[in-house]
Amino acid sequence: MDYYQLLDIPRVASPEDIENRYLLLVKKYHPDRSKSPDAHEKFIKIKEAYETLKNPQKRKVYDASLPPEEKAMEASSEPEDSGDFSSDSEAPVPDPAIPKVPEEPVSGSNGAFKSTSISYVSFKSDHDSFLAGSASSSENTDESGKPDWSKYVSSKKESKLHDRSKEVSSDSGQNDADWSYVKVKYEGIDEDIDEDADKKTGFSGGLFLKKAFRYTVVLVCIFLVLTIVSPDLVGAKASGLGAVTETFDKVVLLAKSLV
Amino acid sequence: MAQVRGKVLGIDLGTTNSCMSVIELGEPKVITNSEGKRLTPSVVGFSKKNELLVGELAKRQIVSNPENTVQSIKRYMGKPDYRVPLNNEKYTPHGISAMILQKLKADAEKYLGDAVGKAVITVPAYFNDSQRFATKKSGEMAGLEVLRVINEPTAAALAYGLRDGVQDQKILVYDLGGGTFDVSILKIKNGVFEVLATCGDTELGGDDFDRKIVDYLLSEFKEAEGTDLSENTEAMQRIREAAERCKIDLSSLTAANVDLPYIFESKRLDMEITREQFEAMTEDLVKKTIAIMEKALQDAGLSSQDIDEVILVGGSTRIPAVAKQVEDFMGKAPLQNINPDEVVAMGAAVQAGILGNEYLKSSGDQQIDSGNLVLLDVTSLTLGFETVGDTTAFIIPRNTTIPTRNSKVFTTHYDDQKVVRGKILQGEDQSASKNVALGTIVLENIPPAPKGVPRIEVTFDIDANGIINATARDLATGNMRSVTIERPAGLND
Repeated sequence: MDYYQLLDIPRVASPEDIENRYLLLVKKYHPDRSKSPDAHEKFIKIKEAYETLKNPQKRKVYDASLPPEEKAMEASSEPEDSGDFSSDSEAPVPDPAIPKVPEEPVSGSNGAFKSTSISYVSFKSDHDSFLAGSASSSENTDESGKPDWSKYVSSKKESKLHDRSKEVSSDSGQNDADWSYVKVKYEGIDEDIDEDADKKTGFSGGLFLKKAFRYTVVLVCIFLVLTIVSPDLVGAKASGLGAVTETFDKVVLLAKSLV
Repeated sequence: MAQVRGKVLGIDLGTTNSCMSVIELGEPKVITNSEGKRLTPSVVGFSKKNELLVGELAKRQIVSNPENTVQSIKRYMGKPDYRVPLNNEKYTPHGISAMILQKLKADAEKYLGDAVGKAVITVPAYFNDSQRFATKKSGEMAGLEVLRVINEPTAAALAYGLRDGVQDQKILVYDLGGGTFDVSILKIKNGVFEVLATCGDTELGGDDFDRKIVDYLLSEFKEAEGTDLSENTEAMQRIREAAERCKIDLSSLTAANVDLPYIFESKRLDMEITREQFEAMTEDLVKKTIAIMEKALQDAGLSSQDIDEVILVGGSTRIPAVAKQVEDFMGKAPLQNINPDEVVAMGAAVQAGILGNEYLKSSGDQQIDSGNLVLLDVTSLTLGFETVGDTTAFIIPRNTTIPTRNSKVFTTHYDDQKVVRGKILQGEDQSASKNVALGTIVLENIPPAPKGVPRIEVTFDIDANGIINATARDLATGNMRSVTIERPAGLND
């Protein structure tokens, strides 16, 4: 996870935005405020990220050391050539929930989950143009807690990654793209993804089932947002991501007992 | 009495006076002691009948029973070998402080009508690790769970910020107490109180101003009467007390009198000191504080114009020369409506409220609750590791926000060196022996290799409580050694 992902800000964030974000996170993760056992670690990392990014000189050096963002940008006319769909070097993590993606561009360096190889390989060749795309969508990073679809996706993955980040020292999050873009731009690949989704969820196809599945996923995401925003509604004790994992565990237990 | 189960006491354990406060209805309230006073003198003694006296009662017998009375013990906190002979026993400084805290605890319980088990105690920002440890220990000896030891100027900033509505601003806290001096510069933004820099002198305070008057009186007396009174304990106690009163008087009068009949045999000490004389005597002390203020601004990377408010804390800021010099230097008048004796204790109560997730009311525009307030303090002294040639390798620089962690890689300095040993140092000096040693790291079983080849990573980690954890790791073998700071044996009594 790079510093921008850690602070959940776009790479083009202004110094003021960076500071405001830092202050917000500090109030959340400082050991005085957070009873979580990893608060100490988290706070130190956040501080490290802020110290680097707040200094223009250090930020420049740091930015140069980062690999390019895995983001999309708007294509000029026809869809991009599908390119080769060979799997990439890293094993993709199956994503159980596929959110319905809104039309508006989504921003934030949220690439927090491993996508299916099919979807983003085609973008790789065009990475320069992504930056322009992500820049224009930076306004959508909403810090006031208004539901932002990209947050749904990343928040769940962040909680998974949270545990894995300790083992993975090198930044493997770099290669992740938010493949929700794919649906918006590349109608042709839609079916591929649906197939993948179908395979993963074990459904045998059929438009109705697909739709029902998507609606369920939407509800799950709303639930997740509620969990993060007001944990007491779902009876979770922790706040933020801790509530999500807590609720997730509860749901899993429930699912297990039902099966 | 209202239900106040589990209240956390905020305690300002001062050199001259102590004060305590709790959060009541969202605001810090100062608690009166059993004598009905808001300040308790930090004096401990045993009466002629061997009763333990703390506070006002002990202070009253300073002159009549000086061998059995102790004051300004804070100056000795953290000094491992210092002992106070009292009542046929030898007490450690933290043992004496524990007696003061015991009285405060008992008085608080009486006032609140309930048991008090937890406290937040303040210390000068410039206190080193041993001094903080001693303070925490004295709390524990008094039966209090010390949730946090926080810095006095930061506590003052918290109390001020909460009271006046937490707006975004930069403030400078000038804290001149009885025995210590601290300057802290804070940036308040979005409810986050971030210390930018802190600087101080743990041996500069009101007591030193008293000392100047005492020296003057002694020299004048010697000239007039030919006797040196400095060897006479009882005379010295009387002169010290009179000097303190004189200093206080000179804050409101332009001339004050010291009249001590029968100071020595039939001789009488009767002198007048004008405010001008006093200011001349103490000019160098005030200059010292201004120099420290300058350093703090430098460390923070700010000029005096960048500061929005100046807050004076500590009884000694009542000295007109002090307030004036601060105003001249900063180019703005300090805030007048802060009680310099109580604001630190109130700030400790606010921090207690934050830790306990209590509801905190702010009289300003913003509605503050403890979820919106957080204190980002800094380590005031550089932390380093001792290397060959009596050198200090700095690892965590002063004024680093805590919690924090940093590492540096070291290596052996002779072939086949099997053991690396070095002290953990706190201080700014390049020379290791001039800094305060907090403990020793010993890493053994380093595989034989030419000098300069092994990579030994030393990591220092400071948590939100200011507790230091040190680790040494041989990067080749993964062999690791964690060290908890060993306090000097004398602090463990």
